Amino acid sequence: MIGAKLEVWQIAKRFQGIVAVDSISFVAGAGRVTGLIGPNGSGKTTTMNMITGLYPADAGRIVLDGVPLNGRPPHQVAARGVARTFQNIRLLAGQSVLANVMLGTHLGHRQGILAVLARLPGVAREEREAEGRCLSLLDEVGIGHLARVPAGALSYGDRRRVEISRALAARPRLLLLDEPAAGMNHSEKEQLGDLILQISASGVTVLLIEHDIDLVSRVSDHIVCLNFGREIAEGTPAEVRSSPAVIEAYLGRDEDA
Amino acid sequence: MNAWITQFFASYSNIIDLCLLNSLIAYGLFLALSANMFSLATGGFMALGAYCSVYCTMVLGLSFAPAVFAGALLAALAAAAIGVPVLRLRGDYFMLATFAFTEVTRVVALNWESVTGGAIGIFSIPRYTETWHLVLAVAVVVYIAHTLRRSYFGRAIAAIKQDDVVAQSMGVNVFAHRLALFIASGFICGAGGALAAHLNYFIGPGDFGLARSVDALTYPILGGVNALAGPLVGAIFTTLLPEVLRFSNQLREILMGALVVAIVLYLPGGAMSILKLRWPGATARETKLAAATEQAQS
Repeated sequence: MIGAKLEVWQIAKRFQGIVAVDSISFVAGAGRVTGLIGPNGSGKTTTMNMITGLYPADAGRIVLDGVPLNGRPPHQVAARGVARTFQNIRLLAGQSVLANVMLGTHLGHRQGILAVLARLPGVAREEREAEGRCLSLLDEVGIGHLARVPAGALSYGDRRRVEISRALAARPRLLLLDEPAAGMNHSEKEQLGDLILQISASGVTVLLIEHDIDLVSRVSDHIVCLNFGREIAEGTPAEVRSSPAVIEAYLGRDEDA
Repeated sequence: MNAWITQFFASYSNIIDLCLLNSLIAYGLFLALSANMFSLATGGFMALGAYCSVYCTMVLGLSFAPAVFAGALLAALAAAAIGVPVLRLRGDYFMLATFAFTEVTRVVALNWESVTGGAIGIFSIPRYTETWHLVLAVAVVVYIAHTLRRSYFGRAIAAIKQDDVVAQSMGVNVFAHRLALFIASGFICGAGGALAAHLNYFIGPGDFGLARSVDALTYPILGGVNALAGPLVGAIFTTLLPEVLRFSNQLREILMGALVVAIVLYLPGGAMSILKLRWPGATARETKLAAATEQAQS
């Protein structure tokens, strides 16, 4: 599989006069991991919501492999091969882990409603294939044994893995991860880093929003740093970490950050 | 024994038919509720189905089956027409808009005398509806609901109900699914109205007002919207209760109201959640879940 190239040109978003994203441009190269960092309120999640179509962008262009995504509703953006996870984990808590991941296969189903109602053999086959794929995805992220457990009963780190599995079940060309390491302990973060590298190695383009600078530096090919809705630095992990503007944004200059 | 059964059906056939009819409508609402659509349009849909089918049989001289189909189709078309603008509304606004539809339909039925007979209604409608028609209709709807629940459509609808942002992000066209469910709900309620009209000899505008819409919403909610049998249980329960409480005409309404309040308060998952309390298997599963949750949190 070949990942998609995401180009973001001068996108902006205001919420009733409050500027969430002023003007942001960056490119997430095909098959690479791009890190999006910045202090709280710098516009990272808003940017992600604009890319996925949850918020319409007030200005600018979002282009995936040459196809503009602006103005498309979220389900159409998803149909172009974009999948995401959520900062505040959004699983269907009462349903099993497997059922949650199976939702990710939605776009892969080809059988129509009449075929489903007639219970044609193709429907059962498609369902079995989807289930098999989801189970092996869960194995890959290390929670195969929890497939039948209600998602609400899982630990924080495992819930994040379910979210990632659900996004991967959609066979994305671009995967957006919104703070996947939040609330994870050190060893969980290590495993998550391995998983992101593994996903990237399979060809999927990854856009990673994350606060943990060590994790971002480890997995990213390229990092974009935002503050107050603008990008203040861009480059390799080493370049961004040594940028005075980034250090100032995170640590502050004279006052406390 | 055989004679006893025959006698049973003879004396209770009216109430059995009513239970089945209400179950059919309950499943119509079940489909709408499965995507969080608290629709008060039921009365309007039933009125369209009833008047249209009666017009077909009594004026156009069509036979019963195409007449019922025409009534259901008209209600489905109305659902599509009001669904497109109204489904964009959320929660209470959606309820108000669907209520307005039921009211408008009732007022039209009241005033369009040449077709609906106005306030007097239409008398001596031929009694074509038989018990097996109702059984068949309920069985078909239950089959469809059951099959869809186990498919990727069912997963998409369950996701829409719990978190439509997640559903959209996974590629589910939320609007199309909700519209399709609303149209299906309209079709079923329209068919219910057509079957009701040819069961009762008479229809009038008062039959299909707000009270009808609220009752229809009560069935699946009381029975439980998460279980497939919920609407059936709720409809039968709500239909039989007034009969059982016949011993006291004055107390009937009060007891009925008190029971509804009690169920809503103590069984928020509907009457079907009683089964969960009583099945040892279900209890064991829940205990295990509670233990797993505790473990996960510690």
